[in-house]
Amino acid sequence: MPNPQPQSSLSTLSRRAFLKWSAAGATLTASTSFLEGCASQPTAIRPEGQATLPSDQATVFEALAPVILDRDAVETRGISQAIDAGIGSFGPINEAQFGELLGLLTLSPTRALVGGLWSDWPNADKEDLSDFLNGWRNSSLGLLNAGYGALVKITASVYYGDARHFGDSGYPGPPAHALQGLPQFQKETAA
Amino acid sequence: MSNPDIIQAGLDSGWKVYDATLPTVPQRFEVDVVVVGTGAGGGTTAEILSAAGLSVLMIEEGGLYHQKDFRMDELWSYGHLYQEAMSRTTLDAAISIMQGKAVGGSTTVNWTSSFRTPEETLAHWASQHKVVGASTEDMAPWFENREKRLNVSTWETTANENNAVLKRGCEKLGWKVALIPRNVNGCWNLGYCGFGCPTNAKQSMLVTTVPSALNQGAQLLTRASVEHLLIENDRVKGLVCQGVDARNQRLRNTRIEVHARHVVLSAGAIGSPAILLRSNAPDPENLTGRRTFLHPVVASVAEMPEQINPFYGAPQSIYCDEFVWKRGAGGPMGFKLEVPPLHPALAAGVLSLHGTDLKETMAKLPHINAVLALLRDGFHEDSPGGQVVLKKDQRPSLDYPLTDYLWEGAREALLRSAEVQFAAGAKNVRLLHLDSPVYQSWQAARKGINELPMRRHRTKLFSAHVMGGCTMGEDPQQALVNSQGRHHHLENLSVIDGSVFPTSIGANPQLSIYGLAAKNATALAQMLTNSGGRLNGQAEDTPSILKKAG
Ligand SMILES: Cc1cc2nc3c(=O)[nH]c(=O)nc-3n(C[C@H](O)[C@H](O)[C@H](O)COP(=O)(O)OP(=O)(O)OC[C@H]3O[C@@H](n4cnc5c(N)ncnc54)[C@H](O)[C@@H]3O)c2cc1C
Ligand code: SF4
Repeated sequence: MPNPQPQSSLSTLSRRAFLKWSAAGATLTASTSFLEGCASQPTAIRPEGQATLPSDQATVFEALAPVILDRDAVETRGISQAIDAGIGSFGPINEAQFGELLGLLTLSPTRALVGGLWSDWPNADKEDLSDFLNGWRNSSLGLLNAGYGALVKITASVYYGDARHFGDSGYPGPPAHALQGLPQFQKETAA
Repeated sequence: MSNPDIIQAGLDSGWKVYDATLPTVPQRFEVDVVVVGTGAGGGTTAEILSAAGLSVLMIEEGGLYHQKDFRMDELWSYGHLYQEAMSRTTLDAAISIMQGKAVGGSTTVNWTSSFRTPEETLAHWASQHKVVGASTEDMAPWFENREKRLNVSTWETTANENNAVLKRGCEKLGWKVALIPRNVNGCWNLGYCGFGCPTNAKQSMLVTTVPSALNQGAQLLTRASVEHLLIENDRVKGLVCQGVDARNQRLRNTRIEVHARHVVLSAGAIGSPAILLRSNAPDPENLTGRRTFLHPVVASVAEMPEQINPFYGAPQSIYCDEFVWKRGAGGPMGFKLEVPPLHPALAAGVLSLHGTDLKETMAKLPHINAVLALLRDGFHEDSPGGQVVLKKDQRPSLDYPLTDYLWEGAREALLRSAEVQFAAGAKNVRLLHLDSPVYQSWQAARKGINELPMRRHRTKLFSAHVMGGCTMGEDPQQALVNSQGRHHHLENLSVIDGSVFPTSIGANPQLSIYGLAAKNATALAQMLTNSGGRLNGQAEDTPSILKKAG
């Protein structure tokens, strides 16, 4: 299978131009720490059940998931909540770093600069979103490759790990004889 | 029938187990020995020390999960049983790191492969790192002792189809291939070892040494992270810990202080050095956290004509050692070939694909086989290993350099894993590498892989074997602890876990940790129970633990 060709406006930005531009936004610097690990303040402790992602960041996943997974938006609707739960147990620093990456993608100037996306997430069309993903995947900047990896990994894992989607990977789920034979699956021994 | 849930039975019988996030937790403990971490090193140590009549407190930052929680649910496991909910990586995010975080440590989620430390590794430690008392002959009785304790035996049940691919390919190519010994008792051959064994068959620390220590009167404090040691001159008075909730948030209003005659760090690689770094422990040579190794893993996935269901059956039962030592311990970076289990979330996560490519590849999961290579790091000067560093919130990360020497090993390993898959009849093979096409033949793969750029973030790297960072050896200029795990600069502190290894192992490390931990904990127990006894060199007599087992 041939590699998808870089298409986004990002791929036309030279590394130098990119770095020069990067001085422009503090957000971008912060985004570097998403990968370099020297993150900002740990997030405050949230009560159980409270969302981690601000709603504008959740829209990043709602927009990207159908393209990452190649499925209709109806099939992936709500995935940001599951992703949110995942990110919410990463621990403060990784959570904050993910937040920085998403922050970068939700602010329109940086979204346009590093993502090549001019419209905001809910309004971006499939082609733009795919260009964005391919741009990050094929970029010569390792930082963007890693950002691609992070977005794709959590979306794909959360989707395929969900029992409702086991069929999409031909995984029948835990073997029936285990479910029948093990005490933790019998109702009366639930305690 | 599954094995009985001895954790539930023990809890019902009144084990002294505390949860640091609950208001009822005691604020202060006073014991003979505090053992930090309940994985391979900590579990082994706690059982041996408590059997010697010492009062022991085990501290674990993860929760106490057991059979009722182990429901073969992949996402639940990643969220609850793994460090940083599976999001741990090296500092530059180039290598994904899997480590356990629960009572039982990484043994609660490991895949049961049980190898003795290779002779080449032990010889290298003796000659290059001044490790004494750990030759193959010295270690043999300790490995035998642990193999009995944890019921290690070669897995004779027919390998699942995923492992059979590796076997078939190696046989075709004439490569060394053998069956893996596993630490299981009554295994159902299900394949969910990575999610907490649902049948209690896996002889992890969770169902063996930790319960046995608790039965011997030891105490267990869960969801408590050791923040720092209380150091006075060259002694450790005790330590301070904080509660950690299920979402990995530290509870700043908790502070539990533990006082002990002796402190054992068994928080694993990354974990143990991090505690020493947070404590500003004496370290004139700046060795703490240095030489941390990963067995960096590269992998390729093959589409097989037949259905192999890589999610079912004992996850690892076949290995290939053709390339581990081929050109000597100090030669190019050798590697061991094995197979990982592939459940949907893990598979989808590691593929690093999107769109149609992801969808179509995932749809074929029942036909997908993966072969992985564990690269043996630390045996060459161009493989110095990583450095554990503390982030702003004092949590650890690992700064791991990717050297040309490593990339050469990685390329060779990817060539061999693709070759073995084609030899086993793969329809096509693709590497876990952003630039990898789907290769249709071995010829195409050979040519392609030789030309692929080996680059950070493009070549996917993983690790489930973190080792080193508190290097052992007799020379304080080169090592942080001695061959028995005693800190060179702190009188009553030992490190007993995978962090003491001066290099990686060159094989899956759990049995190496069990053996060395049993040996060093036994010596420690003797020292602590003989009042005024000193711990140096070999124990004079055969320790009773070996007599019992022998
Ligand atoms: C998915 C997976 C599969 C594996 N498969 C195999 C295999 O098949 N064969 C094999 O030989 N090896 C395997 N391993 C590796 C093996 O399990 C580990 O090398 C081994 O368990 C390490 O032992 P340890 O005592 O050094 O640390 P661990 O077993 O990791 O235990 C350390 C414990 O310390 C706790 N801790 C850390 N910091 C603190 C703190 N500050 N306060 C309190 N507690 C703390 C951690 O939560 C953890 O529970 C696997 C590992 C993983 C993750
Ligand atoms: S394969 Fe693993 S999880 Fe399944 S019963 Fe055996 S040891 Fe337990």
